[in-house]
Amino acid sequence: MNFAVLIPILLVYMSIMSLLAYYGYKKTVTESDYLVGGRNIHPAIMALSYGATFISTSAIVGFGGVSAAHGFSLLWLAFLNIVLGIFVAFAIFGTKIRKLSLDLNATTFPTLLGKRYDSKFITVFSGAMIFILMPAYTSIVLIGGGRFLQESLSMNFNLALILLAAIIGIYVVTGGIKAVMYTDAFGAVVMLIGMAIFLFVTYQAVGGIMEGHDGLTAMKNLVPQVLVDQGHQGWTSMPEFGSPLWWTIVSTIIMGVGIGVLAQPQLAMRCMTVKDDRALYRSVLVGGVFIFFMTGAAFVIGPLSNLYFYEKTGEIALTAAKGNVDLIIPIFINQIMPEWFIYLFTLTLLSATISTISSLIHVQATAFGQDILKTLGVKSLFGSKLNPSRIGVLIGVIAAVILAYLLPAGIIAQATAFWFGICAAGFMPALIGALYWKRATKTAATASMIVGFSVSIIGFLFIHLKESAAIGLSQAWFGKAAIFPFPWTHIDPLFYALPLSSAVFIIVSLLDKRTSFTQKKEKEPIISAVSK
Amino acid sequence: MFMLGMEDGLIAFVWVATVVSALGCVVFGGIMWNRGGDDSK
Repeated sequence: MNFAVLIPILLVYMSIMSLLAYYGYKKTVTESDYLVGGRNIHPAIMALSYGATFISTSAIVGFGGVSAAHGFSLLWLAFLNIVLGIFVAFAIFGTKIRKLSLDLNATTFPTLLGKRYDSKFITVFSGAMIFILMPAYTSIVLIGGGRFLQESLSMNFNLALILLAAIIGIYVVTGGIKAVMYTDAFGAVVMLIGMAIFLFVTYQAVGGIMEGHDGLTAMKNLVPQVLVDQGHQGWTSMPEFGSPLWWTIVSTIIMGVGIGVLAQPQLAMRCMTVKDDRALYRSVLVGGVFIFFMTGAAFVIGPLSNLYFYEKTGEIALTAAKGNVDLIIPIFINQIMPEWFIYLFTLTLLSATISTISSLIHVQATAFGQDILKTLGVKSLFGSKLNPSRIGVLIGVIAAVILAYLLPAGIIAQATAFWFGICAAGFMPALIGALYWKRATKTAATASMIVGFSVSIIGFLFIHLKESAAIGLSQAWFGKAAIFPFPWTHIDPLFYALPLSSAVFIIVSLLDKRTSFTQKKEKEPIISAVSK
Repeated sequence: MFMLGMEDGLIAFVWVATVVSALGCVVFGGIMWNRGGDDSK
Protein backbone atom coordinates (compact mmCIF):
# COMPACT_ATOMS: atom_id res chain seq x y z
CA MET A 1 0.00 0.00 0.00
CA ASN A 2 1.28 3.45 -0.94
CA PHE A 3 1.35 5.60 2.21
CA ALA A 4 1.80 8.78 0.18
CA VAL A 5 -1.70 8.11 -1.16
CA LEU A 6 -3.30 6.51 1.88
CA ILE A 7 -2.37 9.11 4.48
CA PRO A 8 -3.89 12.11 2.61
CA ILE A 9 -7.05 10.04 2.02
CA LEU A 10 -7.22 9.21 5.72
CA LEU A 11 -6.70 12.88 6.62
CA VAL A 12 -9.57 13.93 4.35
CA TYR A 13 -11.75 11.16 5.78
CA MET A 14 -11.00 12.15 9.38
CA SER A 15 -11.58 15.83 8.54
CA ILE A 16 -15.06 15.02 7.25
CA MET A 17 -15.77 12.90 10.32
CA SER A 18 -14.54 15.71 12.59
CA LEU A 19 -16.70 18.26 10.81
CA LEU A 20 -19.76 16.05 11.19
CA ALA A 21 -18.96 15.48 14.87
CA TYR A 22 -18.59 19.25 15.32
CA TYR A 23 -21.94 19.76 13.54
CA GLY A 24 -23.46 17.26 15.98
CA TYR A 25 -21.88 19.15 18.86
CA LYS A 26 -23.32 22.49 17.67
CA LYS A 27 -26.77 20.92 17.28
CA THR A 28 -26.67 19.41 20.77
CA VAL A 29 -28.26 21.84 23.19
CA THR A 30 -30.68 19.94 25.39
CA GLU A 31 -30.38 16.66 27.27
CA SER A 32 -32.86 15.18 24.77
CA ASP A 33 -30.50 16.20 21.94
CA TYR A 34 -27.62 14.41 23.66
CA LEU A 35 -29.60 11.24 24.41
CA VAL A 36 -32.11 10.79 21.56
CA GLY A 37 -31.12 13.42 19.00
CA GLY A 38 -34.07 15.62 19.93
CA ARG A 39 -36.31 12.84 18.50
CA ASN A 40 -36.00 14.46 15.09
CA ILE A 41 -33.23 12.58 13.24
CA HIS A 42 -33.67 12.11 9.47
CA PRO A 43 -34.83 8.55 8.62
CA ALA A 44 -31.92 7.91 6.22
CA ILE A 45 -29.42 8.99 8.87
CA MET A 46 -31.15 6.81 11.46
CA ALA A 47 -31.17 3.75 9.18
CA LEU A 48 -27.55 4.20 8.10
CA SER A 49 -26.45 4.82 11.69
CA TYR A 50 -28.34 1.73 12.85
CA GLY A 51 -26.73 -0.34 10.10
CA ALA A 52 -23.25 1.01 10.71
CA THR A 53 -23.62 0.33 14.45
CA PHE A 54 -24.85 -3.18 13.74
CA ILE A 55 -22.04 -4.00 11.30
CA SER A 56 -18.57 -3.88 12.79
CA THR A 57 -15.26 -4.83 11.18
CA SER A 58 -15.67 -8.32 12.62
CA ALA A 59 -19.00 -8.74 10.79
CA ILE A 60 -17.31 -8.05 7.45
CA VAL A 61 -13.84 -9.52 7.89
CA GLY A 62 -14.45 -12.02 10.72
CA PHE A 63 -17.82 -13.44 9.72
CA GLY A 64 -16.90 -13.10 6.01
CA GLY A 65 -13.90 -15.33 6.72
CA VAL A 66 -16.08 -17.79 8.65
CA SER A 67 -18.42 -18.01 5.64
CA ALA A 68 -15.39 -18.75 3.42
CA ALA A 69 -14.70 -21.75 5.63
CA HIS A 70 -18.28 -22.92 6.20
CA GLY A 71 -20.07 -21.85 3.02
CA PHE A 72 -23.34 -20.24 2.02
CA SER A 73 -25.20 -21.51 5.11
CA LEU A 74 -24.34 -18.22 6.81
CA LEU A 75 -26.72 -16.51 4.38
CA TRP A 76 -29.47 -17.50 6.83
CA LEU A 77 -27.96 -14.92 9.16
CA ALA A 78 -28.05 -12.25 6.43
CA PHE A 79 -31.69 -13.16 5.76
CA LEU A 80 -32.56 -12.83 9.48
CA ASN A 81 -30.58 -9.59 9.68
CA ILE A 82 -32.80 -8.08 6.98
CA VAL A 83 -36.14 -9.54 8.09
CA LEU A 84 -35.73 -9.30 11.89
CA GLY A 85 -32.92 -6.78 12.19
CA ILE A 86 -34.48 -4.27 9.81
CA PHE A 87 -38.13 -4.94 8.97
CA VAL A 88 -39.32 -6.23 12.36
CA ALA A 89 -36.96 -3.95 14.31
CA PHE A 90 -38.20 -0.78 12.54
CA ALA A 91 -41.72 -1.38 11.24
CA ILE A 92 -43.06 -3.62 14.02
CA PHE A 93 -41.02 -3.19 17.22
CA GLY A 94 -39.64 0.23 16.30
CA THR A 95 -42.98 1.99 15.97
CA LYS A 96 -44.04 0.67 19.39
CA ILE A 97 -40.71 1.55 21.01
CA ARG A 98 -40.88 5.08 19.59
CA LYS A 99 -44.45 5.67 20.82
CA LEU A 100 -43.84 4.19 24.27
CA SER A 101 -40.59 6.11 24.77
CA LEU A 102 -42.32 9.35 23.77
CA ASP A 103 -45.34 8.78 25.99
CA LEU A 104 -43.23 7.75 29.00
CA ASN A 105 -40.55 10.36 28.25
CA ALA A 106 -37.91 7.62 28.21
CA THR A 107 -34.59 8.46 26.56
CA THR A 108 -32.70 5.19 27.02
CA PHE A 109 -33.50 1.50 26.63
CA PRO A 110 -33.28 0.70 30.39
CA THR A 111 -35.37 3.77 31.26
CA LEU A 112 -38.01 2.64 28.77
CA LEU A 113 -38.28 -0.77 30.47
CA GLY A 114 -38.10 0.77 33.96
CA LYS A 115 -40.80 3.34 33.31
CA ARG A 116 -43.06 0.84 31.54
CA TYR A 117 -42.89 -1.54 34.50
CA ASP A 118 -42.76 1.28 37.02
CA SER A 119 -39.57 -0.14 38.49
CA LYS A 120 -36.36 1.66 39.39
CA PHE A 121 -34.76 -1.73 39.95
CA ILE A 122 -35.37 -2.71 36.31
CA THR A 123 -33.81 0.56 35.10
CA VAL A 124 -30.76 0.23 37.34
CA PHE A 125 -30.35 -3.52 36.75
CA SER A 126 -30.62 -3.12 32.96
CA GLY A 127 -28.20 -0.19 33.06
CA ALA A 128 -25.78 -2.19 35.20
CA MET A 129 -25.90 -5.20 32.86
CA ILE A 130 -25.12 -2.90 29.93
CA PHE A 131 -22.41 -1.01 31.79
CA ILE A 132 -20.72 -4.14 33.17
CA LEU A 133 -21.10 -6.59 30.28
CA MET A 134 -21.04 -4.39 27.17
CA PRO A 135 -17.36 -3.31 27.56
CA ALA A 136 -16.31 -6.86 26.59
CA TYR A 137 -18.08 -6.41 23.24
CA THR A 138 -16.84 -2.83 22.85
CA SER A 139 -13.35 -3.98 23.60
CA ILE A 140 -13.25 -6.72 20.97
CA VAL A 141 -14.49 -4.27 18.33
CA LEU A 142 -11.73 -1.91 19.49
CA ILE A 143 -9.17 -4.71 19.30
CA GLY A 144 -10.37 -5.46 15.76
CA GLY A 145 -9.93 -1.80 14.81
CA GLY A 146 -6.51 -1.61 16.43
CA ARG A 147 -5.31 -4.77 14.67
CA PHE A 148 -6.66 -3.46 11.39
CA LEU A 149 -4.74 -0.15 11.74
CA GLN A 150 -1.67 -2.10 12.80
CA GLU A 151 -1.80 -4.22 9.64
CA SER A 152 -2.92 -1.61 7.12
CA LEU A 153 -0.85 1.35 8.36
CA SER A 154 1.96 -0.57 10.06
CA MET A 155 0.99 1.43 13.14
CA ASN A 156 2.00 0.35 16.64
CA PHE A 157 -0.97 -1.59 18.11
CA ASN A 158 -0.91 0.30 21.42
CA LEU A 159 -0.87 3.64 19.64
CA ALA A 160 -3.69 2.54 17.29
CA LEU A 161 -5.82 1.43 20.23
CA ILE A 162 -5.35 4.65 22.18
CA LEU A 163 -5.77 6.85 19.09
CA LEU A 164 -9.07 5.20 18.14
CA ALA A 165 -10.37 5.36 21.72
CA ALA A 166 -9.36 9.01 22.11
CA ILE A 167 -10.95 10.15 18.82
CA ILE A 168 -14.20 8.34 19.57
CA GLY A 169 -14.23 9.48 23.20
CA ILE A 170 -13.85 13.14 22.25
CA TYR A 171 -16.70 13.26 19.81
CA VAL A 172 -19.08 11.17 21.92
CA VAL A 173 -18.41 13.38 24.98
CA THR A 174 -19.00 16.60 23.06
CA GLY A 175 -21.59 15.75 20.44
CA GLY A 176 -23.62 12.94 22.04
CA ILE A 177 -25.91 10.81 19.88
CA LYS A 178 -26.10 13.44 17.11
CA ALA A 179 -22.34 13.38 16.56
CA VAL A 180 -22.45 9.58 16.72
CA MET A 181 -25.28 9.28 14.18
CA TYR A 182 -23.97 11.87 11.70
CA THR A 183 -20.52 10.26 11.61
CA ASP A 184 -22.13 6.79 11.51
CA ALA A 185 -24.17 7.79 8.45
CA PHE A 186 -21.13 9.07 6.58
CA GLY A 187 -19.22 5.92 7.47
CA ALA A 188 -22.19 3.82 6.33
CA VAL A 189 -22.17 5.44 2.88
CA VAL A 190 -18.46 4.59 2.53
CA MET A 191 -19.19 1.02 3.67
CA LEU A 192 -22.11 0.68 1.24
CA ILE A 193 -20.07 1.81 -1.77
CA GLY A 194 -17.13 -0.42 -0.80
CA MET A 195 -19.13 -3.60 -0.25
CA ALA A 196 -21.39 -3.13 -3.30
CA ILE A 197 -18.35 -2.84 -5.59
CA PHE A 198 -16.71 -5.81 -3.84
CA LEU A 199 -19.79 -8.02 -4.42
CA PHE A 200 -20.13 -7.19 -8.11
CA VAL A 201 -16.41 -7.64 -8.80
CA THR A 202 -16.39 -11.00 -6.99
CA TYR A 203 -19.26 -12.43 -9.05
CA GLN A 204 -17.59 -11.08 -12.18
CA ALA A 205 -14.28 -12.71 -11.23
CA VAL A 206 -15.85 -16.16 -10.85
CA GLY A 207 -17.74 -15.92 -14.15
CA GLY A 208 -21.17 -14.81 -12.93
CA ILE A 209 -23.83 -16.00 -10.49
CA MET A 210 -24.64 -19.47 -11.93
CA GLU A 211 -21.07 -20.18 -13.00
CA GLY A 212 -19.74 -19.18 -9.59
CA HIS A 213 -22.22 -21.34 -7.68
CA ASP A 214 -21.71 -24.29 -10.05
CA GLY A 215 -17.94 -24.02 -9.71
CA LEU A 216 -18.15 -23.92 -5.92
CA THR A 217 -20.51 -26.92 -5.83
CA ALA A 218 -18.03 -28.89 -7.90
CA MET A 219 -15.31 -28.22 -5.29
CA LYS A 220 -17.12 -30.23 -2.62
CA ASN A 221 -14.38 -32.87 -2.47
CA LEU A 222 -11.83 -30.18 -1.53
CA VAL A 223 -13.38 -29.47 1.89
CA PRO A 224 -10.67 -30.25 4.49
CA GLN A 225 -11.24 -33.56 6.31
CA VAL A 226 -11.26 -31.84 9.70
CA LEU A 227 -14.32 -29.83 8.59
CA VAL A 228 -15.96 -32.88 6.97
CA ASP A 229 -15.64 -34.66 10.32
CA GLN A 230 -17.43 -31.73 11.96
CA GLY A 231 -20.36 -32.01 9.51
CA HIS A 232 -19.27 -29.86 6.53
CA GLN A 233 -20.97 -31.10 3.32
CA GLY A 234 -19.68 -28.55 0.80
CA TRP A 235 -19.87 -24.78 0.43
CA THR A 236 -23.30 -24.82 -1.24
CA SER A 237 -24.92 -27.18 1.30
CA MET A 238 -26.08 -26.88 4.89
CA PRO A 239 -23.89 -28.78 7.41
CA GLU A 240 -25.08 -32.27 8.36
CA PHE A 241 -28.12 -31.96 10.66
CA GLY A 242 -27.21 -32.29 14.35
CA SER A 243 -23.44 -32.26 13.72
CA PRO A 244 -21.13 -30.00 15.81
CA LEU A 245 -20.83 -27.62 12.85
CA TRP A 246 -24.63 -27.51 12.39
CA TRP A 247 -25.13 -26.61 16.06
CA THR A 248 -22.46 -23.92 15.93
CA ILE A 249 -23.78 -22.32 12.74
CA VAL A 250 -27.47 -22.64 13.53
CA SER A 251 -27.57 -21.99 17.29
CA THR A 252 -24.74 -19.49 17.72
CA ILE A 253 -24.16 -17.69 14.44
CA ILE A 254 -27.60 -17.75 12.81
CA MET A 255 -30.03 -17.78 15.73
CA GLY A 256 -27.85 -16.17 18.40
CA VAL A 257 -26.87 -13.13 16.37
CA GLY A 258 -29.97 -13.19 14.14
CA ILE A 259 -32.50 -13.08 16.98
CA GLY A 260 -30.29 -11.23 19.44
CA VAL A 261 -30.36 -8.12 17.29
CA LEU A 262 -33.95 -7.36 18.35
CA ALA A 263 -32.98 -6.76 21.97
CA GLN A 264 -29.75 -4.82 21.45
CA PRO A 265 -29.99 -1.61 23.52
CA GLN A 266 -27.68 0.34 21.17
CA LEU A 267 -29.89 -0.60 18.20
CA ALA A 268 -33.37 -0.45 19.78
CA MET A 269 -32.73 3.07 21.11
CA ARG A 270 -32.22 4.32 17.52
CA CYS A 271 -36.01 4.04 17.03
CA MET A 272 -36.46 6.68 19.75
CA THR A 273 -34.54 9.23 17.71
CA VAL A 274 -37.03 9.77 14.88
CA LYS A 275 -40.08 12.01 14.76
CA ASP A 276 -42.83 9.65 13.62
CA ASP A 277 -43.69 6.21 12.26
CA ARG A 278 -43.24 7.52 8.73
CA ALA A 279 -39.53 7.99 9.42
CA LEU A 280 -39.30 4.37 10.59
CA TYR A 281 -41.09 3.08 7.49
CA ARG A 282 -38.71 5.07 5.30
CA SER A 283 -35.79 3.69 7.31
CA VAL A 284 -36.83 0.16 6.31
CA LEU A 285 -36.01 1.01 2.69
CA VAL A 286 -32.53 2.34 3.43
CA GLY A 287 -31.74 -0.24 6.12
CA GLY A 288 -32.77 -3.25 4.01
CA VAL A 289 -30.49 -2.25 1.15
CA PHE A 290 -27.63 -1.42 3.52
CA ILE A 291 -27.71 -4.75 5.39
CA PHE A 292 -28.02 -6.68 2.12
CA PHE A 293 -24.77 -5.14 0.91
CA MET A 294 -23.09 -5.75 4.28
CA THR A 295 -23.82 -9.24 5.62
CA GLY A 296 -25.49 -10.47 2.42
CA ALA A 297 -22.46 -9.47 0.35
CA ALA A 298 -19.89 -10.68 2.92
CA PHE A 299 -21.53 -14.13 3.17
CA VAL A 300 -21.57 -14.50 -0.62
CA ILE A 301 -18.06 -13.16 -1.20
CA GLY A 302 -16.55 -15.43 1.49
CA PRO A 303 -17.57 -18.79 -0.01
CA LEU A 304 -16.87 -17.63 -3.59
CA SER A 305 -13.32 -16.68 -2.62
CA ASN A 306 -12.63 -20.46 -2.49
CA LEU A 307 -13.37 -20.77 -6.20
CA TYR A 308 -11.21 -17.76 -7.06
CA PHE A 309 -8.25 -18.97 -4.97
CA TYR A 310 -8.59 -22.49 -6.39
CA GLU A 311 -8.61 -21.29 -9.99
CA LYS A 312 -5.60 -19.02 -9.43
CA THR A 313 -3.46 -21.00 -6.99
CA GLY A 314 -4.97 -24.47 -6.68
CA GLU A 315 -5.71 -23.84 -2.99
CA ILE A 316 -8.96 -23.20 -1.11
CA ALA A 317 -9.32 -19.94 0.82
CA LEU A 318 -8.54 -21.45 4.21
CA THR A 319 -5.27 -22.88 2.93
CA ALA A 320 -4.35 -19.63 1.15
CA ALA A 321 -4.83 -17.82 4.48
CA LYS A 322 -2.75 -20.45 6.29
CA GLY A 323 -5.71 -21.50 8.43
CA ASN A 324 -6.53 -18.02 9.77
CA VAL A 325 -10.13 -17.19 8.75
CA ASP A 326 -9.65 -13.52 9.70
CA LEU A 327 -7.07 -13.14 6.92
CA ILE A 328 -9.18 -14.60 4.09
CA ILE A 329 -11.07 -11.40 3.15
CA PRO A 330 -7.98 -9.10 3.34
CA ILE A 331 -5.92 -11.54 1.22
CA PHE A 332 -8.79 -11.95 -1.25
CA ILE A 333 -9.12 -8.17 -1.65
CA ASN A 334 -5.41 -7.80 -2.23
CA GLN A 335 -5.56 -10.40 -5.02
CA ILE A 336 -8.81 -9.52 -6.75
CA MET A 337 -9.25 -5.75 -6.42
CA PRO A 338 -7.35 -2.82 -7.95
CA GLU A 339 -5.17 -0.73 -5.65
CA TRP A 340 -7.63 2.16 -5.41
CA PHE A 341 -10.22 -0.23 -3.94
CA ILE A 342 -7.85 -1.24 -1.17
CA TYR A 343 -7.83 2.40 -0.02
CA LEU A 344 -11.63 2.49 -0.18
CA PHE A 345 -11.86 -0.76 1.75
CA THR A 346 -9.48 0.64 4.37
CA LEU A 347 -11.97 3.46 4.90
CA THR A 348 -14.84 0.95 4.87
CA LEU A 349 -13.34 -1.03 7.73
CA LEU A 350 -12.31 2.08 9.63
CA SER A 351 -15.90 3.35 9.34
CA ALA A 352 -17.28 0.02 10.53
CA THR A 353 -15.01 0.13 13.58
CA ILE A 354 -15.59 3.76 14.56
CA SER A 355 -19.36 3.65 14.06
CA THR A 356 -19.86 0.55 16.17
CA ILE A 357 -17.57 1.61 19.00
CA SER A 358 -18.97 5.14 19.22
CA SER A 359 -22.53 3.82 19.53
CA LEU A 360 -21.56 1.26 22.14
CA ILE A 361 -19.68 3.86 24.17
CA HIS A 362 -22.68 6.21 23.99
CA VAL A 363 -25.05 3.51 25.29
CA GLN A 364 -22.60 2.52 28.05
CA ALA A 365 -22.29 6.16 29.05
CA THR A 366 -26.03 6.75 29.22
CA ALA A 367 -26.43 3.48 31.15
CA PHE A 368 -23.97 4.89 33.69
CA GLY A 369 -25.17 8.49 33.84
CA GLN A 370 -28.90 8.21 33.19
CA ASP A 371 -29.97 4.70 34.08
CA ILE A 372 -27.83 4.04 37.13
CA LEU A 373 -26.77 7.36 38.68
CA LYS A 374 -29.75 9.55 37.79
CA THR A 375 -32.23 6.83 38.81
CA LEU A 376 -30.42 6.52 42.14
CA GLY A 377 -30.58 10.29 42.61
CA VAL A 378 -26.91 11.07 41.89
CA LYS A 379 -26.79 14.22 39.76
CA SER A 380 -23.07 14.96 39.72
CA LEU A 381 -19.85 13.08 40.33
CA PHE A 382 -16.87 14.34 42.31
CA GLY A 383 -18.48 17.79 42.42
CA SER A 384 -17.97 18.06 38.67
CA LYS A 385 -20.32 20.14 36.55
CA LEU A 386 -19.86 17.62 33.77
CA ASN A 387 -22.97 15.54 33.09
CA PRO A 388 -22.52 12.01 34.57
CA SER A 389 -23.27 10.57 31.09
CA ARG A 390 -20.23 12.37 29.75
CA ILE A 391 -18.14 11.01 32.62
CA GLY A 392 -19.60 7.62 31.66
CA VAL A 393 -18.07 8.06 28.19
CA LEU A 394 -14.63 8.46 29.73
CA ILE A 395 -15.12 5.43 31.99
CA GLY A 396 -16.43 3.38 29.04
CA VAL A 397 -13.47 4.30 26.85
CA ILE A 398 -10.93 3.54 29.59
CA ALA A 399 -12.64 0.21 30.42
CA ALA A 400 -12.61 -0.80 26.73
CA VAL A 401 -8.88 -0.01 26.42
CA ILE A 402 -7.99 -1.87 29.63
CA LEU A 403 -10.06 -4.91 28.60
CA ALA A 404 -8.34 -4.91 25.21
CA TYR A 405 -5.17 -5.92 27.05
CA LEU A 406 -6.87 -8.42 29.39
CA LEU A 407 -9.12 -10.38 27.00
CA PRO A 408 -7.58 -13.49 25.44
CA ALA A 409 -6.76 -13.43 21.72
CA GLY A 410 -9.08 -14.87 19.08
CA ILE A 411 -12.40 -14.32 20.84
CA ILE A 412 -14.03 -11.81 18.47
CA ALA A 413 -16.82 -14.12 17.35
CA GLN A 414 -17.40 -15.50 20.85
CA ALA A 415 -17.60 -12.05 22.44
CA THR A 416 -20.07 -10.91 19.76
CA ALA A 417 -22.26 -13.98 20.22
CA PHE A 418 -21.98 -13.58 24.02
CA TRP A 419 -23.30 -10.03 23.97
CA PHE A 420 -26.07 -10.69 21.45
CA GLY A 421 -27.11 -13.87 23.29
CA ILE A 422 -27.31 -12.41 26.79
CA CYS A 423 -29.24 -9.39 25.51
CA ALA A 424 -31.80 -11.63 23.82
CA ALA A 425 -32.29 -13.85 26.87
CA GLY A 426 -32.20 -11.01 29.38
CA PHE A 427 -34.15 -8.26 27.64
CA MET A 428 -36.36 -9.75 24.94
CA PRO A 429 -39.31 -11.17 26.96
CA ALA A 430 -39.54 -7.99 29.04
CA LEU A 431 -39.27 -5.82 25.92
CA ILE A 432 -41.93 -7.72 23.96
CA GLY A 433 -44.18 -7.77 27.03
CA ALA A 434 -43.69 -4.03 27.47
CA LEU A 435 -44.77 -3.40 23.89
CA TYR A 436 -47.53 -5.95 23.36
CA TRP A 437 -48.91 -7.35 26.63
CA LYS A 438 -50.93 -5.17 28.97
CA ARG A 439 -50.91 -7.88 31.60
CA ALA A 440 -47.10 -8.04 31.81
CA THR A 441 -46.03 -7.16 35.33
CA LYS A 442 -43.06 -5.65 37.11
CA THR A 443 -42.33 -8.84 39.08
CA ALA A 444 -42.45 -10.93 35.91
CA ALA A 445 -40.12 -8.59 34.03
CA THR A 446 -37.67 -8.53 36.95
CA ALA A 447 -37.69 -12.32 37.35
CA SER A 448 -37.36 -12.88 33.60
CA MET A 449 -34.38 -10.55 33.30
CA ILE A 450 -32.58 -12.09 36.27
CA VAL A 451 -33.19 -15.63 34.95
CA GLY A 452 -32.21 -14.67 31.38
CA PHE A 453 -28.93 -13.05 32.34
CA SER A 454 -28.04 -15.66 34.99
CA VAL A 455 -28.72 -18.71 32.80
CA SER A 456 -26.87 -17.14 29.87
CA ILE A 457 -23.82 -16.34 31.95
CA ILE A 458 -23.82 -19.83 33.53
CA GLY A 459 -24.14 -21.30 30.03
CA PHE A 460 -21.15 -19.37 28.75
CA LEU A 461 -19.04 -20.07 31.86
CA PHE A 462 -19.70 -23.81 32.22
CA ILE A 463 -21.60 -25.34 29.29
CA HIS A 464 -20.81 -23.80 25.88
CA LEU A 465 -17.36 -25.18 25.12
CA LYS A 466 -15.81 -22.29 23.16
CA GLU A 467 -16.35 -19.76 25.94
CA SER A 468 -16.04 -22.09 28.93
CA ALA A 469 -12.71 -23.43 27.63
CA ALA A 470 -11.42 -19.89 26.97
CA ILE A 471 -12.52 -18.60 30.40
CA GLY A 472 -11.29 -21.68 32.27
CA LEU A 473 -13.59 -21.46 35.29
CA SER A 474 -15.22 -24.81 34.52
CA GLN A 475 -11.79 -26.44 34.27
CA ALA A 476 -10.73 -24.91 37.59
CA TRP A 477 -13.90 -25.87 39.49
CA PHE A 478 -14.99 -29.13 37.86
CA GLY A 479 -11.81 -30.41 36.21
CA LYS A 480 -13.25 -30.30 32.67
CA ALA A 481 -13.65 -27.62 30.03
CA ALA A 482 -17.46 -27.98 29.96
CA ILE A 483 -19.69 -29.75 32.47
CA PHE A 484 -22.10 -31.46 30.03
CA PRO A 485 -21.28 -33.65 26.97
CA PHE A 486 -22.05 -32.95 23.28
CA PRO A 487 -24.43 -31.56 21.96
CA TRP A 488 -24.66 -29.18 24.98
CA THR A 489 -21.08 -28.12 24.34
CA HIS A 490 -22.13 -26.68 20.95
CA ILE A 491 -25.63 -25.36 21.73
CA ASP A 492 -25.63 -21.61 22.26
CA PRO A 493 -26.96 -20.65 25.74
CA LEU A 494 -29.57 -18.51 23.99
CA PHE A 495 -31.31 -21.75 23.02
CA TYR A 496 -32.22 -22.57 26.61
CA ALA A 497 -31.87 -19.18 28.34
CA LEU A 498 -34.43 -17.41 26.13
CA PRO A 499 -37.17 -20.08 26.46
CA LEU A 500 -36.55 -20.15 30.23
CA SER A 501 -36.70 -16.37 30.65
CA SER A 502 -39.80 -16.26 28.41
CA ALA A 503 -41.52 -19.01 30.43
CA VAL A 504 -40.72 -17.24 33.69
CA PHE A 505 -42.06 -13.97 32.28
CA ILE A 506 -45.36 -15.49 31.14
CA ILE A 507 -45.97 -17.67 34.21
CA VAL A 508 -45.16 -14.93 36.75
CA SER A 509 -47.29 -12.40 34.84
CA LEU A 510 -50.24 -14.78 34.86
CA LEU A 511 -49.82 -15.61 38.56
CA ASP A 512 -49.00 -12.12 39.74
CA LYS A 513 -52.03 -9.89 40.18
CA ARG A 514 -50.58 -7.67 42.89
CA THR A 515 -48.20 -5.63 40.81
CA SER A 516 -50.06 -5.79 37.52
CA PHE A 517 -49.43 -2.72 35.46
CA THR A 518 -53.15 -2.36 34.85
CA GLN A 519 -53.44 -1.25 38.50
CA LYS A 520 -51.40 1.85 37.67
CA LYS A 521 -54.33 3.89 36.47
CA GLU A 522 -52.34 6.91 35.38
CA LYS A 523 -50.28 4.88 32.88
CA GLU A 524 -53.02 2.56 31.69
CA PRO A 525 -54.04 4.73 28.70
CA ILE A 526 -50.42 4.86 27.50
CA ILE A 527 -49.97 1.09 27.62
CA SER A 528 -53.37 0.46 26.06
CA ALA A 529 -52.55 2.79 23.20
CA VAL A 530 -49.12 1.29 22.57
CA SER A 531 -50.27 -2.34 22.92
CA LYS A 532 -53.02 -2.02 20.30
CA MET B 1 -31.29 -30.77 -10.13
CA PHE B 2 -29.10 -28.06 -8.70
CA MET B 3 -30.95 -24.83 -8.11
CA LEU B 4 -29.02 -21.67 -8.91
CA GLY B 5 -25.97 -23.87 -8.98
CA MET B 6 -26.40 -24.77 -5.29
CA GLU B 7 -26.30 -28.40 -4.19
CA ASP B 8 -28.75 -27.88 -1.31
CA GLY B 9 -32.26 -26.54 -1.92
CA LEU B 10 -32.20 -24.77 1.46
CA ILE B 11 -29.16 -22.78 0.39
CA ALA B 12 -30.76 -21.88 -2.96
CA PHE B 13 -33.88 -20.82 -1.04
CA VAL B 14 -31.99 -18.60 1.39
CA TRP B 15 -29.94 -17.00 -1.41
CA VAL B 16 -33.20 -16.01 -3.13
CA ALA B 17 -34.85 -15.11 0.19
CA THR B 18 -32.01 -12.74 1.09
CA VAL B 19 -32.34 -10.90 -2.22
CA VAL B 20 -36.15 -10.87 -2.05
CA SER B 21 -36.19 -9.66 1.57
CA ALA B 22 -33.95 -6.72 0.65
CA LEU B 23 -36.20 -5.91 -2.32
CA GLY B 24 -39.21 -6.33 0.00
CA CYS B 25 -37.76 -3.67 2.30
CA VAL B 26 -37.45 -1.32 -0.69
CA VAL B 27 -41.04 -2.00 -1.78
CA PHE B 28 -42.38 -1.65 1.78
CA GLY B 29 -40.50 1.59 2.32
CA GLY B 30 -41.81 2.91 -1.00
CA ILE B 31 -45.43 1.97 -0.30
CA MET B 32 -45.33 3.38 3.25
CA TRP B 33 -43.31 6.47 2.23
CA ASN B 34 -46.01 8.95 3.20
CA ARG B 35 -47.85 6.97 5.86
CA GLY B 36 -47.49 7.28 9.62
CA GLY B 37 -46.73 11.00 9.61
CA ASP B 38 -46.83 13.24 12.66
CA ASP B 39 -50.61 13.69 12.65
CA SER B 40 -51.31 9.94 12.65
CA LYS B 41 -49.22 9.36 15.77
